[in-house]
Amino acid sequence: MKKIGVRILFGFAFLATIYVLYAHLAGVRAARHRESSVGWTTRFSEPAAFVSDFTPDVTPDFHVEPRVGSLFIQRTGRVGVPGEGHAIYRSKPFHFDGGMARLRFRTRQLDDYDVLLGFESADRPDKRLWFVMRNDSQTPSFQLEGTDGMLGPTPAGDSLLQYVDGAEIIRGNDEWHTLGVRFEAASQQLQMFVDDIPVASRVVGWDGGIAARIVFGVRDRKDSEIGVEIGELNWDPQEGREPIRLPNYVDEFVGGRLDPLRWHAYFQQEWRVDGSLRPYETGNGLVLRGRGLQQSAPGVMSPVTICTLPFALTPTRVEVDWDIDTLEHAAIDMTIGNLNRTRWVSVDIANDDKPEPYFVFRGQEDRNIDPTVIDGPPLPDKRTHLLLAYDPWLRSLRVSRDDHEIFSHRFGLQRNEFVRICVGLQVFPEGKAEARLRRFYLHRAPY
Amino acid sequence: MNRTFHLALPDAWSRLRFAVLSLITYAYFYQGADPNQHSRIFLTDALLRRSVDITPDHGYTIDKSFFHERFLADKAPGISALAVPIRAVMGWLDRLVGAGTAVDSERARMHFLAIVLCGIAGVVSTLWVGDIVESYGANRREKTLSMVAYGFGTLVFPFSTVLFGHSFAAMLILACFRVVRGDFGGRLSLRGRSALFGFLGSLTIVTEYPTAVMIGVLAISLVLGRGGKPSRAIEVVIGGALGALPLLALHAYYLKVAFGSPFSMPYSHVFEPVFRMNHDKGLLGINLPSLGGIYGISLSPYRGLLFMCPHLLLAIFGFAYWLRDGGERDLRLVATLLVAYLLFSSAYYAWDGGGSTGPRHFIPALAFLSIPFFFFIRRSNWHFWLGAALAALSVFFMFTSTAVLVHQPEGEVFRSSPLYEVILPSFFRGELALNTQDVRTLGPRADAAYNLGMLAGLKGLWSLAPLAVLWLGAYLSDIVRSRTRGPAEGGPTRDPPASEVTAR
Repeated sequence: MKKIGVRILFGFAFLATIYVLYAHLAGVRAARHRESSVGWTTRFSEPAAFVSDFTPDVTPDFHVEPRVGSLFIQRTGRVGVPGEGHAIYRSKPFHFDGGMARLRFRTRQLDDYDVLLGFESADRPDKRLWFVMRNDSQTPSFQLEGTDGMLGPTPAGDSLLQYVDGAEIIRGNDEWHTLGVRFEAASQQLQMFVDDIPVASRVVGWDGGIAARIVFGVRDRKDSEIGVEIGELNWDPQEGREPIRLPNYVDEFVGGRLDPLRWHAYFQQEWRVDGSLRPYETGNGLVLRGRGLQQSAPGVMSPVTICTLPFALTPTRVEVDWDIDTLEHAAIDMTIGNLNRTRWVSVDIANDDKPEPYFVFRGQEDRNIDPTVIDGPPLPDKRTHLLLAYDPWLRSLRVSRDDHEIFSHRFGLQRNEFVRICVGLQVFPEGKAEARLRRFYLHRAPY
Repeated sequence: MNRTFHLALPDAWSRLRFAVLSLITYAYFYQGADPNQHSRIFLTDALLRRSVDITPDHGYTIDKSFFHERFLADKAPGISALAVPIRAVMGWLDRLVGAGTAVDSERARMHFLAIVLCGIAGVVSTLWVGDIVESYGANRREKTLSMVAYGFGTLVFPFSTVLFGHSFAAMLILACFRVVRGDFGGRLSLRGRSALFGFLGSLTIVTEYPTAVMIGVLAISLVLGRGGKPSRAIEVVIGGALGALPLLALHAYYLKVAFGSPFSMPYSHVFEPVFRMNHDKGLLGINLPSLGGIYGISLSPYRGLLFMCPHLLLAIFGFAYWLRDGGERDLRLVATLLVAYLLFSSAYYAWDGGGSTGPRHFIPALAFLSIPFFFFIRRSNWHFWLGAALAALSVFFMFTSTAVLVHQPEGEVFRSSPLYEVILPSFFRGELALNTQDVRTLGPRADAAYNLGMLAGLKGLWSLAPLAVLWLGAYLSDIVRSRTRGPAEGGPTRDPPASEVTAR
């Protein structure tokens, strides 16, 4: 009996040792790849090298020519079936542990076709992530196509994963632009950029450590005239390994000015609502004013909102000082959420059917989070200091008012997910609001 | 034959030197705050106010319970209660020197409590591990290696730098083990020894509730003794009950005041919905042992003990050697303690310890892996050096984890490897003390954690240089002597058979 026990222990110990050794070797290998991988840039100045490095998938109606440092892709004929023509190139397989790919290009024709950049599994090309700019005669739109996760059968049919809002970045034709996709293996996230501006992120469920290819190209949609010049394709396995670190800042809106490197302002452009932003007359601060028009249909409107630029989420603290002048059937809100608006939470100072303003917590995570009225004393002098702290490691959101915590919530925004923080007004048709934003403090931990 | 013998611990002076250096090393790292530490320190402050109510501070922690419109600490109250007299003295000193509530003062208070309660506990349990393996026949170098491997090559290292209950509970469990073996209270009557066990056991349980499993196993071992006579059992039970009564009664009083009933545990009132959801399942979140949990605690790159402290792999071989050499009785006890605690830990829904280095709930049981580790390294010279090499690796992993981030991120058990994804890359980039949770502060602060070198203005890896200088300086004379004299005292002695030693 003792002998059997000894043998079992030795056997288990050997197996455990082998497994732990393997796990460490795999860890070292993955870490070395992550830390020492070298990127590359193709500028198409050497056609022979381009031909050897990339595998083409080009239908006969396309003409592709590398010359004078660019790759010219044109559609010269017709295949007869609209939407089937394409010129797509795939890099050689490489060890994929995350990194960033960029495609610099310009469109020469306004028509219905797509420019795409993405990743494909080398072993299973049906597993892919393509960031697509859908060009057309008006404003281009963006979308992510492919598959969430790397296992199981790939569903047939539409491979659209999500629409991406980046239209405002590209305004005209014949301008140089950049598409960017970054994959982070640790958080299994794909992040998308237009002209290096973060526009969306998504947990795609891909793993690092696979063999993958970079894919780029042009795809016809409606038997279109196509002319695209691709200036550069870049792959950097190091870039973006750390979160995007926008500087922390305190903004007191001196002179009422909105710094374009920090803020975007949004006004609801509708006849049924009126919103404005103006500097505070006798000191620092920004006055937000909005009102609904009585005649309009019921519903909440957002006359004016200002949002930070998107950033990759790390533990974040936001402090806001408000002086509330008027608040009737309206709310002042502070929101943190991802760019797709699939996960967001908001703390509102509302005044609808109660005599005094009160605090409301609401949001969305897969489904709407039931609004919760937060109990607390009335606002002294209608002046308040709000603090919102979110830690993606702990998934913990905490809200403090005048240095006392009033609410906490477990929430699913992930580390490095692209988010932005917005403050603004919301009004009902009969409502009006005016408040001075005295101070806004944004602090994000580096990690 | 071997020059390292001079680096071993020849006498009381060396023991003191090792203890002081170990404590300085633990004290060198301040890990910032977190919900767990906050919950404990808030209860201490509440007790100082003759209350149990942490409502004034609850906003800083998610580790809290809610009962009768009050927020309360959800942790076992032992550490918080032990911190009360220390905190009272600190309060008096604060008033003397005019320290306020600035964040630096709060950090200093948290740091000091962590050193006094958990750092010292880590040092004491390290020394006791040395004593225990010595009682099994370890010579000086084997004892030294066992101590270094335990004190700096296991989770005891990182968790002796934070105000959690695990390090303190580990020390108490070892004390109970030594009472059962007769190391402590050996001159007392059986009833007296049992009373001592009862007192220490109850203190362990009110420090970390899960340790009740191991205390139960040790209590059964004490009851059974060598003969298992009924009269012995009665003596042990009476003595144990008398010893445990004062603390368990105090604890029951605390529960009555805080949660309305002496049997209402803090974890049955957790406030955060996500914790409540899990605590509502099974017995306060404890279900049947899970394979995922066992894999996660033992082998996984995510929280695996054998992955993060690879020298403990040799403990499994050591068990086999120990069994072959015929140390059945103590082996049975040690193996039962480990298996019972492993199964228990894997049955808890948060077996990974949340944001943690390794499976922190398992820390109180780690000393029991040091014994079979010793039975491996004592086999031969190459066994010893293999043990030393793997222990060095473990020390490196624990050192980097302590220097970079003890609160390692939560992740997926089959995919994540915080050691290779976060700790080692950050360490080699010179990015240390990454925790951003600060004491009594909402939201992150980049300076929430630090080491003493950073406070002195040293940057990156240079901030760790004073520690290296300190250890080298302290052992310089021994190193020089070993190089000039060659092999001398302290060499391998023929160990007595384990069976002789264990027959106490």
